[in-house]
This record gives sequence, C-alpha cells and structure tokens, in this order.
Amino acid sequence: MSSMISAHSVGKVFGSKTVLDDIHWSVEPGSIVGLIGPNGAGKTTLLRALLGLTAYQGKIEVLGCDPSRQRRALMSETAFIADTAVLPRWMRVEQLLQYVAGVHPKFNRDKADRFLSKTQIGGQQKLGTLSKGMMVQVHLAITLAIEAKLLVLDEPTLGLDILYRKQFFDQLINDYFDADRTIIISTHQVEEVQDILTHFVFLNKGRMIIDAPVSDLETRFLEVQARGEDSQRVGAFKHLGSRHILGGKAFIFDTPDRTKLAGLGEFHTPSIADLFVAAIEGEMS
Amino acid sequence: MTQSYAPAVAMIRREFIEYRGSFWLTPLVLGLFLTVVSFGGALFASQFSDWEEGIGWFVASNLPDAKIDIVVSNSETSANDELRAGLVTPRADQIVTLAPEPTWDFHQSWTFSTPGSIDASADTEAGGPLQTSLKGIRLLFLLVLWTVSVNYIAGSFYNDRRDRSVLFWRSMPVSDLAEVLVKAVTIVLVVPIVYLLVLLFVQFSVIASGLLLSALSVELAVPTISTWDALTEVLVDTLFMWPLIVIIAAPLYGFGLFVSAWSKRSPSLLFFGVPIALIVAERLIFRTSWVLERVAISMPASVEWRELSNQLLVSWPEQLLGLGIAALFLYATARVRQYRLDLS
Repeated sequence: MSSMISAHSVGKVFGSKTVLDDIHWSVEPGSIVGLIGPNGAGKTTLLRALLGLTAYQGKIEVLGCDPSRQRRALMSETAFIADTAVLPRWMRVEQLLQYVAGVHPKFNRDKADRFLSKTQIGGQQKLGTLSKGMMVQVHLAITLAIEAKLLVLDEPTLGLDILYRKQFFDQLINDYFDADRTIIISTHQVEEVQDILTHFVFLNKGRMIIDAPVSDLETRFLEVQARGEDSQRVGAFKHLGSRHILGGKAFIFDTPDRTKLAGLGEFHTPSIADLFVAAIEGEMS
Repeated sequence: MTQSYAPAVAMIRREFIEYRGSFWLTPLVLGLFLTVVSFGGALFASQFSDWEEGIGWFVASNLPDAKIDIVVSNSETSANDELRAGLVTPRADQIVTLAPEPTWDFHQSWTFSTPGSIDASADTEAGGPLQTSLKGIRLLFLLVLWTVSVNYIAGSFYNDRRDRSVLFWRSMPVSDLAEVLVKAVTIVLVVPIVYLLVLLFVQFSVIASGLLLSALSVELAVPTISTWDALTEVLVDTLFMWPLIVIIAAPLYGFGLFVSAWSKRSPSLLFFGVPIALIVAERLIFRTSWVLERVAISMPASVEWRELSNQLLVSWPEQLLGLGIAALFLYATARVRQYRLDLS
C-alpha cells in the first residue's frame, strides 16, 4: 500500500536558524500519528510544509501530490485545522457552510448540518460570538463533512477546557477515523492524545528523534525503576533519560539488552509522556 | 439553503459578506439618500412656488430694509397673441386699447426677486442644472467607489493574515491564483456593477423628479426635449467612465493587491507611499511628472468619457504596458500569497 505521506531529506532554514533538519518520514493509511515536541521544535513548520503552506528543501509527497505545486488537488483530499482561532469571525455559521459547499467538491452539507444539529450552535450565529469550544465544533463539523483521506490537526485544542478537548477527540475517533484515513495531530500536550495514537513522532530542534508505532512502547522501549544502589548500576547503561521516583530513579531505554538489566529493578512499559520527557532530556544532556 | 459547487460564485459572495458595508450598504444608503433628496426637493419646490407670492409680501411688509426688485413687463401683445392662437378669437370690439398712465394691467407679468437671486428662466432654457446634478452625482459615486476600491485592494490579503483566517481559506482546495483573480474581478467588475446600477437608478430618479417638477408647473430645472440628448450623454458617461478609469489604474490596482499580500504591516502606507516616492523622485531626478499625471488621470474627475477614451487611444502603447504590469503584479501576488501567512 502506498504511503499517505513520504518525506525525504526535508529541511528548512529561517535566517541562521535551522527549523527542519533532514527529515525522513513515512505515514501509512489508517494511522493516527502524534507529532509531539516542545514549543519551537518545528511541528507547525513541518505540517505547513506537508500542506504546501511554506517553502522547504527536499522532497515531499502527500497523497501522491507535490504540496508546493499541487496544493489545490491535495486540499481536495485533505482537511486541516490550524487552531481554534482561524475561522473568519465576521461570517455567520450558515454563510461559512455555504462557502465551503461552494468551493469544496467533496463537502457533504447534510452531514455538516446533522453534526451541528446536535450542538447549541445556530446557523445565524456569527462566528465571532461563539466560544472557543463552539468554534472548534463548527470547524470539526466542516472537517468531518469533507470526508477527507488525510486530516491534519495543528494544536487543535489549544485553549479549550478539558470537556471540549475530550469531546473533540471522541468525535474524531467515532465520526471520522477508519482504516483508510489518516490523522496527524501536532501537540505538546502528550497526555491528551497518547491513548488514541497508533504512531508517535518526537521532534526537537527541527530533528525527528523518534518515529515509532505505539506497539514499540512494549517491545522497543523499557522503563526500569531502580531503588537504592541498583539505580547507580542501571544508570551506568546507556539510556534515553531518567526521572526521580520515591527511593530511587526510573530509567528509560531504547532497545536495551533486557537480560543485563534483569534483577536490577522493576520493568515497566513507559508512557508516551515519560518517553517524550526522557528523549528530550537525553537530547539536552 | 444548500448550495452546489460553484467556486467563483462562492468566493465573490464571501467578498461581499466581508465587505458588506463598502460593497452593499454604502451605495444603497447613498443612493436612497439622493433619491429621497431629489424627490423631496421637487415636492418642496412645488410647495415653495405656491408660497413665493406670500413670502414676497411678507418680506416687503416686515423687513423695512429689504430690497425687492419688481420687474413689470407689458404682456399685452403676447396675451392677445395667445388668445388669437387659441380657440376663442376676440371680436374687434373686445380688443381694449390700454391707456398709457397709470392703469393697472393684470395681464402684465410680475416677477419678484431679491437682488442676486438666480434667474430661473435662464436655467430652464439651458437644461443645465439637471445635467450638472447628474454629473455631480456621478462624480460623488465614482469618488466613493474609488475610495472603497483602494481600501479593499490595500487591505484584502492583509486582513486575512491579521485575523489568521488565511489558514482556513488556504485549507480549502482553491489555488492562490484563483484567490487573486477573484479579488481582482470583484473590485474591477462586480462591485462597480453594483455601484453603477445604483448610480443609474439615482440618476433616473433625479430625471424623474425633474419631470415631477415639470408636471407641477414649477419654473425650475425642467428637462425639455432639447435636453434629452445631453442627459443621455451623461448616462452613457456613467456607464463607460469607470471601465476606462480601471484600465488606466490597472497597474496601481495590481500593485495594491501585491502590497496587501506582501506587507507585514501598514499596507496602506506602502500603497500610497511608493507612488508618492516615485512622483517626488521623478520630479527631482528627471524634472518630469509622468507618474503624477498617470495617477491623476486614474482618479474620478468630471471629464467626459469620450475625452478620456481619446486620451486612452492616443496613449494605447502606454495603456497596454500598464495592463501587462498589472498582470505581472497579479501573478506576483499569487506567488507571494503562497507562503506569506504570518505577519510576524
């Protein structure tokens, strides 16, 4: 099966700052990929490069299209939610839906109406008068009604309260996702997406430091919680990072020799959040 | 209401929603106001004519220093001529020979006027006031349209970057060139059509109010058959003037769209600043004023469209070059728009 996204040697430089550094990436259909990184890691730039919204070096193909030359064709199959504040505030909901119906050949107006009928949002309401949560619901209604093959979300729940965040991801999984579709979610709030991801990518200072399926958390990565003198012995092995726990330290390893670590501490499957912190700390040290 | 896939229509409609005040409300309110004023003025003038005799007496009796010129013209001959021309022909014994002194003759025409008042009969003969009104209204509309156009051009691609909605618009399957062309077509074609329709309506209203005045027998600006040609010329001017202005101003429009897509702050400053800088530089370096003349001629003025079209025909290579520059600016705008998303 051909890749949804394939990127080779992608780079971008702003002045003297390298924002993307030799990115190689492939995303298959039916994936939910978390693009995770601290602020300024290059997440937004990478997503914009994928969508033809910024210039880049290297080669990118998304759904078989070159984003910099075939953006119109690409956006017919792709939906993009940048963040909660990008809908035109001077428009009414009805006018926005009419606009999308007018310019998007794959927009299903009835589906959008059905989705919005379950909310408190009226067609004559101005977008500028809606709360952030309602604005996201409108954007999500449009996105779900487009029936795109690829959905790109750049910090989609920024500024939303926990109820709206949970509702957002629930709807995404229940109403949008299937085996033929792919979702890329960029966020630095790992906890809220880690349970829905099939893959995760860590980005730091423009470099992709980890690109792995969630199943690798059990097979490839290992957390060893060591106490007392064992923590020093475990720390002597090459590890991604560590954190303090009660009476000792927890170390996270990438493809360790488990036999050598056996007996030195408790083995656990690391969470994406712990792995992310360990990986970033490892980069910094 | 559902809507089928029609990108150009949807995009132009979006422009009219965003600039509702400039594109819809301004011409409609202005047109309504001028229509009400013209009809209201006609009705008021007819009322005023009934009062004018009373006002004359009021002025004479209550203002001791008021000067009223009273012109008495002997209308005997014309009155008798009118009688002869009519159905009733007076018998010889009915023709009265007037005594020279000092008998009052109520056939005489009395005109009351204060010194310096307008000679209404002269206006009526020329048919001028109505034509002047129509031209004035056209100039007013074109000036408003020019202001609206400049404001739209300099702000369109800048405003959606400022409110970040550019990220939403660019998430739709619409090419950058299509975005640019739609904005250009909107401002050089669709919006002017709205303005010109309203303007024509107002001009017809003014003519209608003139006819109303005529029906009410008021000796003011009344169109006569001899003036219809002149009025038609004004309406033709209305239709053809703006397209000519657009052709002349095309490079300026293209430059404005480019600036609005490129500028990270104050696109209006660049839009006005660059031409002004060019004018000054040309004046200082070459001691010529080609740019100034070019900018000046692209602004609405009370010239006739034939005069303007003659100027265009004479300078057609220059106009062709201008259109080429405008096309290059539109293409450059689309290229800049591709990656210019943020203002920071």
